Amino acid sequence: MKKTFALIILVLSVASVYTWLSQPAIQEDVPIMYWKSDSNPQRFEQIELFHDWLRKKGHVTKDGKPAVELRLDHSNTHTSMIHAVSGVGGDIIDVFEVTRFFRSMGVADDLTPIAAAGKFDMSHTYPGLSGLLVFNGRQYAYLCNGNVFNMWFNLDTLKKYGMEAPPEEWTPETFEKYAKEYVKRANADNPKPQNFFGESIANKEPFLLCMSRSMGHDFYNETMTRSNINNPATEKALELFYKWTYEDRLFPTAADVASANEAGGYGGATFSQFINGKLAMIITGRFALIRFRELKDPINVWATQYPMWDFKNMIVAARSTIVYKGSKNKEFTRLFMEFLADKDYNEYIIEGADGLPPNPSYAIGNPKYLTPRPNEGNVHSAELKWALETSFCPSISPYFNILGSNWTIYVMGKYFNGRATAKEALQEAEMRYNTGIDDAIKANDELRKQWEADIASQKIIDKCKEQGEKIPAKLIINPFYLGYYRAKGLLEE
Amino acid sequence: MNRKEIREIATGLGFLLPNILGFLAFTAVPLVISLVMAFTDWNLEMHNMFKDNTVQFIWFDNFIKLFADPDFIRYLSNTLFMMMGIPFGIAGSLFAAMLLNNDFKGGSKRIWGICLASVVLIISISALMLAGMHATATMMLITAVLGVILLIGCAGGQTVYRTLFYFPHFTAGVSTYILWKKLYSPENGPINNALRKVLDSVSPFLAQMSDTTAHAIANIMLIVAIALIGYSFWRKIKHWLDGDCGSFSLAISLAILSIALILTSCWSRLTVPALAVLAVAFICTLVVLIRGRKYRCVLDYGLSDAVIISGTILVFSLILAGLSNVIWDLPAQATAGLTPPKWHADYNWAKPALMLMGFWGAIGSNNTLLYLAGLSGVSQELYEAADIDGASPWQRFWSITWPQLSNITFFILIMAVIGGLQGGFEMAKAMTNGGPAGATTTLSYYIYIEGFSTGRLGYASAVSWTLFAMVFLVTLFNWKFGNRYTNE
Repeated sequence: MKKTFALIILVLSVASVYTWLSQPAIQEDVPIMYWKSDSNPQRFEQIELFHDWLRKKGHVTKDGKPAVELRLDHSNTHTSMIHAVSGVGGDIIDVFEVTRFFRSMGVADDLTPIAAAGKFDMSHTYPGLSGLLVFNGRQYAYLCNGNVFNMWFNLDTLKKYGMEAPPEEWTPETFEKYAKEYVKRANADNPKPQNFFGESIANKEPFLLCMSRSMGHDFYNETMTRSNINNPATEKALELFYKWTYEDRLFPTAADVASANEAGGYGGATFSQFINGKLAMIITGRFALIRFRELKDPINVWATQYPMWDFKNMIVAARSTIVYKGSKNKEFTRLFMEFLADKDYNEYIIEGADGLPPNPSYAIGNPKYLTPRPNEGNVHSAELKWALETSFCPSISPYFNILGSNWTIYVMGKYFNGRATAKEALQEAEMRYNTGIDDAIKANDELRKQWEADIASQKIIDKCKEQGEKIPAKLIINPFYLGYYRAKGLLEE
Repeated sequence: MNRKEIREIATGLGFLLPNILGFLAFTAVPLVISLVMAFTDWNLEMHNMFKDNTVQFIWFDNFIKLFADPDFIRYLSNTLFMMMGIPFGIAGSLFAAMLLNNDFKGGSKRIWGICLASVVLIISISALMLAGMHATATMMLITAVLGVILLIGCAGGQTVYRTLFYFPHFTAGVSTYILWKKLYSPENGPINNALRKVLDSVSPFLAQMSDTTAHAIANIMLIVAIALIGYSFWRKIKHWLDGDCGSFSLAISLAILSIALILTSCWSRLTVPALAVLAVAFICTLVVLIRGRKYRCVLDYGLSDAVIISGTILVFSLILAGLSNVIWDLPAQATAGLTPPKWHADYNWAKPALMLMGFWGAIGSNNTLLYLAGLSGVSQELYEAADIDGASPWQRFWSITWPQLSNITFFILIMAVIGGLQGGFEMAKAMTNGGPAGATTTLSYYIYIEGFSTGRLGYASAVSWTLFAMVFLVTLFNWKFGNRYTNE
């Protein structure tokens, strides 16, 4: 027995040593850099492209190998967070829209000193993204790709029911009229609606936000210190969402969604239903073309903005990426950021249609980007135009941890399930966001000091608004209000 | 201790060391750390290797915050609500075990008969499909599958059925959740397809029912619920007076029944009568207690009976109250056309949908195996004696089987309560994401959100330890009373 035990110990020890020696960092003669991202097949091509780019730029070893080997480590944002605080985060981490949280945790490197020289500063991307990538004047992230979610129409489906392509911009009234007409025609033979105008909007927070912003209201105030989601514009928009879903039956209810077949590959059931004509519209972005280009019979698509009342606006989002503070390969992470803003990568994104290229200068005036295929209509030009001209980043307060529950979607669920009126639902969301802010500043002295300073600014802003005076631009943190007040001539620059 | 003994101890420890080290590294130490964390403000955003902030002890602040947190209370309520399915799960397991305790092995004539019927069925299905009648063919296909199961059962006996019944337990959780999601599909799921036809046919009949009739039926159901609780009160007191129930058991039983009455009154229109029954019950109890009793017994005698019976009465009375509310509005709803529930897509039905699925899982679980083992241990002599006395099947069950299985029932109940308190995470994650609007968020899912989504480790640990305290209480209860009342 003792000998067996000794043998087991020996085998385990040998296995441990072998495991240790087989680590990539020991096996490879170049440093290994890990990129925490999703498992999209395109990532592997992008990694190869990075290696080629390194060779092209002369970042090679003596025997001509790339100076660093990039490897993919796919995980979601939550596991990335746990890994990052445990000291085992990847060298580069895709954090999507929660850059602020990773910065606040102290795991994101400040890129400001190197961004301008590496040409991956804010002048080399979409201005609307500053709220996602920059905090207190310091840049903490760049992006792998951008996106403006908008309404995509299947022109073939519209044509089938004798509908013309919709306008690029519309009001809720014109939108409703058009959508009702479509649903009427598409369900002429069905007593129960089976063809819907668009995908479910029960959790489309950006859509709700755009409609609210079009009446001059954001989910947070000018300094992001308090939520004011309980405002007349959001209430009106939420009531319209309910009417369009449950009364006019333009969009599927939760039960309709639960009844849909969920299979369908990349993009899920929604993309499948859009392709086969069950849905005339989906809310998506340019990345949807990855799926649509695989089709044997290409569909004709067309993009429009969300319906809006007055101030036209869209939301630009990004798969933003940070450099991990604990990375041991800082010089190579800098190269990766440069690669993201450089021609090779941007042209790859343009050709592969994986969203908007991080550096828009490669898309502007580029026929490869603007008119690649006849069936893709205005989707490229419109999305680029909106990203550059009318878009703001999502409403994210630096004082609220958005990795937890999404209270906007939660209260939308409550309202749609008859558990609250629109007003009550928004009151609850506002209360929950503000409680979250109170908890965050109570726990974090640094954040509290910043919040108190911003609250002081907010008081001045409120006073200016009360007295009908122009608001000093330097006091406003919320990018939307900056743009809105500027457009309305209410800003003191 | 001589050198040889020391060497033997060292060898023994050497063998144990890998396991002990593993236990210390992955169980004991994390457990202690999580206990300490529950008293701190550890928040990943603030406290990690890249921040200079130190974790502060805030002692009981997390626990105080927790009990003032409406979300915690709500998610605890969700957890408790879903545990209402436990008595049904236990009853289902017992029923399944009693069925599976019989031998179904048939004679050769029976097997050939079923074989012949199966062949006829298959030919019929093929003919129907060729004729384009796919819906009918599908129904017949299901019947054919049942026929095949019967056939195999006749050939293989109870082993086949026991294996089939145990399927839910060894099928991977997520795949069964996805399967149930499909079954619950509101528009085209098989459950609603079947329900829709039934509801369509009964709607005209129910629409003709007058409001007065509906209200009368609803009130009768409530009265039955209240009477049931009242009867249970009386029965328990009588048991106590006869010395069949200890004072502690009586107190527990009356507490559970009082909760049943209070909740029934809250959920129904007969608040005043329910509370009146409660008041009368209390007065009678007080009078009886003051008078005292002739026959005495130990304090906790009859406790398992108190918990199981009173708990079941609680659940049944709540179901009756719920049904009464449904029947109250039934004519109006039937006029508009009765529609099947939207199950997990609807706030009000999401929890029952998960409970129903849990019921299915409970029938095909270890509980059935435990009951089967218990049934094989019941002395046949008792049944023979009962037969000689001319006992009916129900009397055989109620006077022999049920008491003989009481220790197993009690064990299953306790384990189910522990499982219920800890459960709900996988179902919520795979089927509903805790929605709609938090309807299916249980405590375990809440711990996950707090700990791994928002990074509030201190608070998440406090919730975990509170949950542990509840489970520990139930375990203590089991440890104290679990194995003492066989043949009670």
